[in-house]
Amino acid sequence: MSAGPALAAPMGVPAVPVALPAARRIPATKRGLLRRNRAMAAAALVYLLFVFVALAAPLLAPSDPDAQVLPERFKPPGWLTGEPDHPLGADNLGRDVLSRLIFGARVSIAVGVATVVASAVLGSALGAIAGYARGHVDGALLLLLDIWMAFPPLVLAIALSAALGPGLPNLILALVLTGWVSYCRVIRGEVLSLREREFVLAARVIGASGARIVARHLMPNVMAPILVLATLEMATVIISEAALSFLGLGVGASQPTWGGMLNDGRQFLRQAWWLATFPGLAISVLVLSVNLLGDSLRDALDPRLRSR
Amino acid sequence: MDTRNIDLHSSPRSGGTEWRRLSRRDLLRATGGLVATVTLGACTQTPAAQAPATAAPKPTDAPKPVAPTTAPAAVAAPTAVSAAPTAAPAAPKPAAGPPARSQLIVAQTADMVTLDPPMYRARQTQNIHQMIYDTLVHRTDDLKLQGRLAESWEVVDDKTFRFKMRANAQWQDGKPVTARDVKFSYDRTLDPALKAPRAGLLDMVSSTEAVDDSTVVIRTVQPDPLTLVFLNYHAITPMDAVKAQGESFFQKPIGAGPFTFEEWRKGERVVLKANLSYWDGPPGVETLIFRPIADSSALLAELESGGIDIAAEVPPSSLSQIKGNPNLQALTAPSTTVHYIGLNNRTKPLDNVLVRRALNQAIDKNAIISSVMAGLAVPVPGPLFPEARGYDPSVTGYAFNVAQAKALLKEAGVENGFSLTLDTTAPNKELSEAIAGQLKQIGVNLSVNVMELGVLTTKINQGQSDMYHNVWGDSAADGGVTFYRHFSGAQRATFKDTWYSRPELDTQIDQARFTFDFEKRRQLLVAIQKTIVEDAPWIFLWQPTSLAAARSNVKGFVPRADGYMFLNKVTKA
Repeated sequence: MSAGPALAAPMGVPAVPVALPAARRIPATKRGLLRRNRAMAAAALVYLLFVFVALAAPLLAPSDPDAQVLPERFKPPGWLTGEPDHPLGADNLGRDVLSRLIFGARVSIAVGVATVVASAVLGSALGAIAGYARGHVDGALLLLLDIWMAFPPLVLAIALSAALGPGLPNLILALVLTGWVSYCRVIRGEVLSLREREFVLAARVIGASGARIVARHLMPNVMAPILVLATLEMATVIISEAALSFLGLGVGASQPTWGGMLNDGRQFLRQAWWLATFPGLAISVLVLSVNLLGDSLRDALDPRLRSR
Repeated sequence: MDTRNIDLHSSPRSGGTEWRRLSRRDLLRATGGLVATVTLGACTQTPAAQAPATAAPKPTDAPKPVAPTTAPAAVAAPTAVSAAPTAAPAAPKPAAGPPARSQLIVAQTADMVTLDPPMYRARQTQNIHQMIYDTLVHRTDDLKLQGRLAESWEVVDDKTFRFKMRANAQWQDGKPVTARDVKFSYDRTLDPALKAPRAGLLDMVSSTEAVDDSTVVIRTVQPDPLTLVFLNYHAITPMDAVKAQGESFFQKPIGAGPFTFEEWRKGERVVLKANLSYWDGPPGVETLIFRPIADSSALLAELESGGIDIAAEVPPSSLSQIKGNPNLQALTAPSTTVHYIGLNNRTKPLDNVLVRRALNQAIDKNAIISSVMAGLAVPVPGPLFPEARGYDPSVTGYAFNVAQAKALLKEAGVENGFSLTLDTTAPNKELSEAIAGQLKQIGVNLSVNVMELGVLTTKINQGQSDMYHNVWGDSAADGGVTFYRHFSGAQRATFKDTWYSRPELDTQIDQARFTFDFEKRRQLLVAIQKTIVEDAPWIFLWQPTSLAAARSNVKGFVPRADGYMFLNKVTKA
């Protein structure tokens, strides 16, 4: 195995010979992190708030999100009427908008987290295998990736969820099947370059198996890009979920979702602006906070990803 | 989008950038090196040069390049000078026709399906067709039968109708309409090879006969007074032209109706022009345009800005908005439709009549009507609306009573309620959700499943929907039609629906259907309705009141109970 360096040279190892793997786990520029600190903290706080609202929905919601009081149809928000029973107004069936918004957060957060975790695991596993194995495995996967990426992601998600039918698991499955490719590409690239590093060679020299090298030596070193990508992808996933629910293809009409509320409220925009405004606002704020968080993480952990 | 844009779009040049690019490229080929100086402005000044260039890629646009091109300019700058040259060729007989350049734009919720009369069953398409084609008979705005191409008719016996043709009716190419055209049109519809969706409406017809040029005889298999009513849906097409041109006739058809077909841009607009030689006098406007606008907020925005003159179907929730706008008029009419929820008689626990009655009792129809439907509906106690033959006012149906509904569920052994899926379509989603919300009170949890109408219809036909919110329209307003279609076991071969079947009822239904005397028929239908209400294969809901809206300068537009529109007498002030 002494032919290691010679083997690495034709592969075009990046011209950063002294970059130790450990260095990538520490923030690349501490000043960058400090500068971003405040924005990151604010974004993280908002995101955690949404997670808390989703988890504690039954405790926080003032009423049952499905309870209809038909005479209260289109009742304006509490601060306009002076009556506190519907703080954000009532919808076209007299249901409390705030309660529906709170329960709607559950779907957005659950889909966001579950999809991102599942597609990160699936995508990075496949990417790492392809990147480490190279050869035919890599070629086949690349072909699959290219085919997969030829479909616009949202169109693919629409087709998949229409085929799978409504429901939370089906929705997550549809989004995972569209979302895994980006992880796969990034991780494959990372592993391709890392596998030629000295520490990998060293591990190989002492007789570590391929699986062990991938799991113990390569994966920890690609955690930073995965984390950054996952955070950024979460924003996309939340938007996709809202879009699918808006189109009536999400979890189904019987569960309150922000996208569904937005679509239902859209037709009453002139009579009752609060039906579409608040879910729209909720989507915007959540997605903005996740995006800011992702940006800060990227700047702090992996500035190289900025160019991707 | 405002009015001026509409005018521009109605011109054949509205292909937009694509059209311009194409024609400019062709112009380039034709004129060689001159292109360097061609600008957009230059294009508009050389319509004559463009006309042959456009003819090749878009043949339908070719015949009318000059006049309409200048028309929008005249509208945009309404000076006497620019209007003069346009008016001259367009109105050769100014005394007879509608006001020059008058146009009526009508929005419907769906686009035309086809131009071939027997090949569809959709009200929106029928509304367009009956302006192009004429029919033998017609129903007036209060749904009384009246002759159209037929001047008169007589009932020879219970199974034979004899029609006398109108002498002054002619095709839009000037040839007279004869009895042979009528026979040809019906025979074509009934031809099994054509597989026409409209054939079902004529299934009682055994033979058609053109006795001479002005006499048609139609015979039915069984005594069936409704065949006469159904004839008002069947357009008459010119036999010689259809035979000569085949299917291509229906690309640019001619009819005997008040308007001639001009252009159909799929998904965008259907343009019709006044037929000045229509037997019933020329129509009230020169151009009639139908536009499909499915989205209700877009529909109202267009109506408020004057982009459209008539919106044929408007959701009830916009009633207050229309009433509050001095430029708009809200027009209502009772409809010939009922909303219902089909209950699959094979699904547990809906197979128990007590459960079906409980569901009927658990819905507060008046609360839903007054809130969600803005009062624009009438609750019905059974499957018929009040205007239908066979409706019995003494049958009161199921009164709203949650306690009784719960007691019935207990008696049926499902006191803890149950969970099912309620299939519905997007337009009825809100109502279905309101119904599901009310059924929760008796422990019945329904998850509302919004489906495409076509998909839902297939699922219903196969008897695979457990509960479905649907709308049934019977424009013949005769209980016999409703009962035969939905509650006769004879229909279960094709329409599984609720699987409801009761052999002795089938006999009664057939007996009523084939009774020619209307009073006797009514009595038979009343008896059938009683049984159906007791068996409750549906949750009987309401008869919606149809709401249309028009600009206030539109005169003579009457919404009809059957949902059809006859627009040839409509004018614009």
